[in-house]
Amino acid sequence: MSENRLPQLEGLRQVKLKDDSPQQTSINKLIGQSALLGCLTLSSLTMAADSSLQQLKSFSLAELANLEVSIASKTPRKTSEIAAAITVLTADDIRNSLATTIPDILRLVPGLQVARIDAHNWVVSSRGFGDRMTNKLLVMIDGRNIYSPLYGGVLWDQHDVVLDDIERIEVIRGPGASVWGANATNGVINIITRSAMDTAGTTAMTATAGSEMSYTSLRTSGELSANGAYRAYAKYRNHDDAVYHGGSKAADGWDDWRTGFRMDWQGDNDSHITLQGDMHRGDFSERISVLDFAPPFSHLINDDVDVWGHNILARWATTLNGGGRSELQVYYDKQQREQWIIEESIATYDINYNYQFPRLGAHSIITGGGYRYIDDDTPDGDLSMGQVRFFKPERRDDELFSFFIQDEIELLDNTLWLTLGAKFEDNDYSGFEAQPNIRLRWVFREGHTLWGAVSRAVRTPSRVDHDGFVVVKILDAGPPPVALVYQGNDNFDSEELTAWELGYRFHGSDTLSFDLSLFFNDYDDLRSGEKLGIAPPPPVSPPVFGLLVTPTNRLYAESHGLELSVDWRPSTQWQINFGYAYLDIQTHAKSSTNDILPSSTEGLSPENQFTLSTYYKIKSNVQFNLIGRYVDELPTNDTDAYFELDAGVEWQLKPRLALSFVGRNLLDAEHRETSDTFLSTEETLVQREFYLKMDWQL
Amino acid sequence: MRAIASKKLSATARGLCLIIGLSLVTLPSFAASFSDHQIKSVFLFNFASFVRWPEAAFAAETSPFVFCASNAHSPTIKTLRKVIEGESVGSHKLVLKVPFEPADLTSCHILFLEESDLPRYQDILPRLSTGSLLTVSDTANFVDSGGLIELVQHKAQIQPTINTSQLEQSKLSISSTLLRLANIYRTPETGETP
Repeated sequence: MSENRLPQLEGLRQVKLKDDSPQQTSINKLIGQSALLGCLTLSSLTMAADSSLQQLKSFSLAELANLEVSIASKTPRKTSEIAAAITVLTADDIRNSLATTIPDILRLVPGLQVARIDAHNWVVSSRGFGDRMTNKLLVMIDGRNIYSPLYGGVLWDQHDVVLDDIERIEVIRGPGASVWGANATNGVINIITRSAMDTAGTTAMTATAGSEMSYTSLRTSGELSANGAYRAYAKYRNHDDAVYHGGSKAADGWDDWRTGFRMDWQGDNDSHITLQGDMHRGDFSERISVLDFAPPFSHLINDDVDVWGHNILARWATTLNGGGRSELQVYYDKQQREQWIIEESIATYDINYNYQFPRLGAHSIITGGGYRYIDDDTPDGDLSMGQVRFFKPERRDDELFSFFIQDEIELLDNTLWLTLGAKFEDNDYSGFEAQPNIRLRWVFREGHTLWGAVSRAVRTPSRVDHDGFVVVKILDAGPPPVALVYQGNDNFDSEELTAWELGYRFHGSDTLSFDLSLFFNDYDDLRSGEKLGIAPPPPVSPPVFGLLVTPTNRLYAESHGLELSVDWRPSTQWQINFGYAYLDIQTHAKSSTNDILPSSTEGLSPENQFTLSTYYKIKSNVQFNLIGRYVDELPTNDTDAYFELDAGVEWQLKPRLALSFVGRNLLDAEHRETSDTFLSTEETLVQREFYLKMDWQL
Repeated sequence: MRAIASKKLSATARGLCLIIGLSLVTLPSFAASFSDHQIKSVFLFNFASFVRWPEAAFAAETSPFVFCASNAHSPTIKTLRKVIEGESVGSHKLVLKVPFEPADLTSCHILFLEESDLPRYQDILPRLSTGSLLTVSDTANFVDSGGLIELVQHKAQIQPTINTSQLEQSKLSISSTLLRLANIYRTPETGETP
């Protein structure tokens, strides 16, 4: 250090600006008074203008230099430039959501249906078909697919991340298949964590509601070299049992832990290398009804669900000499699960390459290809215990080849864009699939965009659709007892969708944005549950009959609806978001079917949903959040419509310590959100809860 | 079930102990989120009091302290305007001239240059930085070309880098508080390694 060559200027430290400025002092006094009043007075509203700046100004230089820069505004592409119904949840939105799990965060997205079956089983769905196995929504975490090819759907109890490390969650409602591939029929969710370059120091977070719930995470990050950084984390969660109808204690408690790392390097030519990996283990309980070969032929058990897994992913992106951008990603993922209804071990190897051509005239072309190899093992159940589950074959390995190309053509300078694109895939269940789309985006006035799209997307058969043989539930305790037996069908083919979409966006103002999307979906070859008849009883006494049901493609449906969101920021302290979604689905059976549940999907998702949230900074370091929502009834499983309200106060106690006190589901002691229409898991009620959260930058 | 409950409790307790234990070895930092331009503008504001200008840099006792910048639409400058509103350092009121006339350069105390400004100033930077003008930029390698303070994001943080060789040739002096937390850069000509 060259300090000795410079005059010592310790005295300057005393030149505290605010001491010299009478105006600043009076502002401080006023803020102090309004805090004493503890309510939203007009004086605090006007005087605390740009409160976060006032807070920043009060920091020491050292505190300033150690601040982590917010990444809230960092999106690679403005959402206004995308011709699709997209919602991006930023780090700030996630912080404001008062939620502690990913599905709860997703409740903020207009048009998504989020409903809790029990303390760890969820329904997360877009534009209808909301089930425990929502098979028309593709979900990825940092480019790694978490949609299970075994069931078709996402098992939300297996997946989680450190919420503070999420950079953004991109949600596309409607088909994203022309880029993301099959099963992105009704939507795509991309959960994207921050680069290790964008995290600093050590952070601890804990949210606790005493013995009822406690989530704790610890993350540390640092430099690897001049142009590299790492991050490592550990997270532990536990959740106590909820309650059944009538208030008796349920058996759906759980705990899980996960740990992982991420490393990023930035090099010349905008090159970026990422290496990341995670491992997790969880222990969940749920109550199910199982088959018994002795009277009364079925009984309830508290099933012990064990899940564990790990993954590793590498990504390398670079700009080539000609100006094109190349990105290569490889990952390996292993998930294991043991419960009454299934025992599975599934390994995925995936390689994917994308290339963005340098712009050629009006054309921006991106193309890519991928290969995925899936190797699974699903051992048979123990028949003597009544555990009827067989996969034929027991082990299977499948391959998926894919290729896509997309061209965005700027037809009129900065005004009109046409996007043509398609994804072509070959899978081992339904063979070759082509999923094209055409999109048009028109900025008819500055800040006003109109867009439209027509797309085709498919939901490919899952392993259960083709190979499963499972006793799903006991239909009638008899005598003679009758079990609903699901038998896979090798001829079951892909479900198809042709979607028509139209949207309008206003994004011309800093204080107000508006987003409306309308859609009409035309589905064909949807899965029906075809009654095959009564299966011969297994060699047990007394005999148990099975009602055999097999999947066929004998339903079709139309749906239409709209999603609206308004984001209004009346002042720098105040943000108001409004969301509304409407959905109508009509399913029809083809004449040849004897489907046993033809209209069930119609009533699985709410017709109307509203959310209204307000985030208000009372003081520079105190924020008050209120989130209200309304969810319509679900006729299929007799779920009533409900209103709920969440409220929370976040208090930045010290520069490095924030405390939040949150109350969720305040309007009812407990409410029911849905039930399991697929399996026999007994639903539990969502209870009013209060938790305390602590964010600590160490 | 009781065994499971106690297992859960003890694990929670362990998690809490870990956090409390780690918090004993803390460094100052912050949990709330601020954007890069907010942090940069507050740094600029702080420079006015952590750097000392010679008396000759002010025409009179009550002359303003002047920040100069070119682009009125830059988010950092827009925020700086709010930050310095109503503030003063000693008897000097803080003001912002944006855009400023080249002829006014002599009345500027802090000159904030953004990437787009650099081509115009690159050549004269070492000369500008010899008087009583504090040249600051948020562009990488600014100190290499003769600028005084660089405010560049390293990883997730914004930390000042000070060109002390250039500083010695100027009429400014920087408080040791600021020097201690800044990265120090020395121009190779002085014969020392940076």
